[in-house]
Amino acid sequence: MSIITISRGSYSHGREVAEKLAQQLGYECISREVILEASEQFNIPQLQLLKAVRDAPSILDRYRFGKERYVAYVRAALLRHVQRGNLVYHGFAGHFFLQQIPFALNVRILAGMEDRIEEMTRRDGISADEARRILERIDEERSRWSQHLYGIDTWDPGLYDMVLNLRSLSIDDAVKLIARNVELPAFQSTPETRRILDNHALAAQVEAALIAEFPQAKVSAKDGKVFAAIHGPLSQQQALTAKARDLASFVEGAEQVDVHFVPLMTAD
Amino acid sequence: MPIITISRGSYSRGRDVAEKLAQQLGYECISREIILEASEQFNIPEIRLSHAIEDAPSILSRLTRGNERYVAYVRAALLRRVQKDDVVYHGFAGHLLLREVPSVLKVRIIASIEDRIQEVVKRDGVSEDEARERIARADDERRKWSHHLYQADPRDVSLYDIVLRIRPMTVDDAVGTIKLAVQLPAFQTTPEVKKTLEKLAARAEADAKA
Repeated sequence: MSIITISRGSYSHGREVAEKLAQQLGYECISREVILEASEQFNIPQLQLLKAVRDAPSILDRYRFGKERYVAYVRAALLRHVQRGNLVYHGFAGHFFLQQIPFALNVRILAGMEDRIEEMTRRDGISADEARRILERIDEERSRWSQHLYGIDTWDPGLYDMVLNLRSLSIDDAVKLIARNVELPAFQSTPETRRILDNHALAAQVEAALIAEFPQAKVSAKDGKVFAAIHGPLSQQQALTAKARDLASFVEGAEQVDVHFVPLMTAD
Repeated sequence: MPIITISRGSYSRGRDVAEKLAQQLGYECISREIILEASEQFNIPEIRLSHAIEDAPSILSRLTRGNERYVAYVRAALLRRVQKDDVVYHGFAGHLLLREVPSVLKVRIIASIEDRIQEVVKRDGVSEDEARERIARADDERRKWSHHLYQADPRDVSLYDIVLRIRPMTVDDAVGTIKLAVQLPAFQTTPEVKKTLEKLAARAEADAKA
């Protein structure tokens, strides 16, 4: 099975590439749907999730564990979804979560600023100057957002297997090149890489289950065994450990849970 | 009838891609040869040309703009050369030297820093730390050079039509992708492109001789 992620700037025709590609390959094409799934799975309003993954963090957010929590929910929902395989994911940020999957084909679609402005004036009926201003602001927000959450820059070509420029390539050309490459052995799952995906997905579910109570929880998983590191005051070690174990054990697929307690140093 | 340029970071397997690609397509593969050609055509010592276009510009040359002249020679020779068509050029800055030619397929091959370090260790037999330093130095030189002459950063992906990362894709995979791309209508040297190319070459020669 294969997974393709398409990272795109707004108004860069990336959606069209993703949709045509999925149609041609007979794959599922997903984007925003993941927000709805996360909303249902974790009982959080869609708008809050959407804002968390779309907007750059405010100063306030940097001091709270606000967005990280919603991002964890989206990530869990996304990883659970992609376990089905044979899909094209496009949209905000998803490729960051999916980049840990060794067989994912990560693509970035580029369009020139002038093309994007034209597309935006056509679609939204605004002036070219306004379109340029808005696009620059969007790009800036996205870049700040990914820097904040992941310490990475969306423009770093090292994040992608292929970068395709729509200045010279048509949408159909791009689809053709991606469709050809997804057939390569490098982008087929093997039992081993499949297991890595399952491990990431399980860890993400457990992290999402813990994060409301334990905002700093770090979780990894291996073949049904879960390791969770949590933080808290030493005096509450037993109670918190038990609580984390309960929350984690509730997650489907978590067969064994090890909780590692990290005492917080408090100034007396 | 296409012209392909391959831009490569040092130690990123770009040379392997260029050579295999040319061989499979039956195209000519050129790189440093173009310096020799420029040297013969304009009667300039080869060593001066290669310094001028391969080394980062010195303070002096930045002030005197001496490098521009040498680059003009190389550019003129390259424009003449690609008129023969069906060519893969993987020397310095092909994407910039030929940027006015509309149908050129501009490819960049990249590799992760870890893979590049391993490549240097294997090729030059040095420690990982030394390898890391060599790569940083080489990247820095090229960046300065490209910035000096073209105000362009080679890492800017919008300069290329296609960027491919080696690993998990293999060199052969990348060659296959480019072979497919080169058949696309956008990259054919049409009679119109040929006319443009002739004009550019003539102008570049005149500039170089001026």
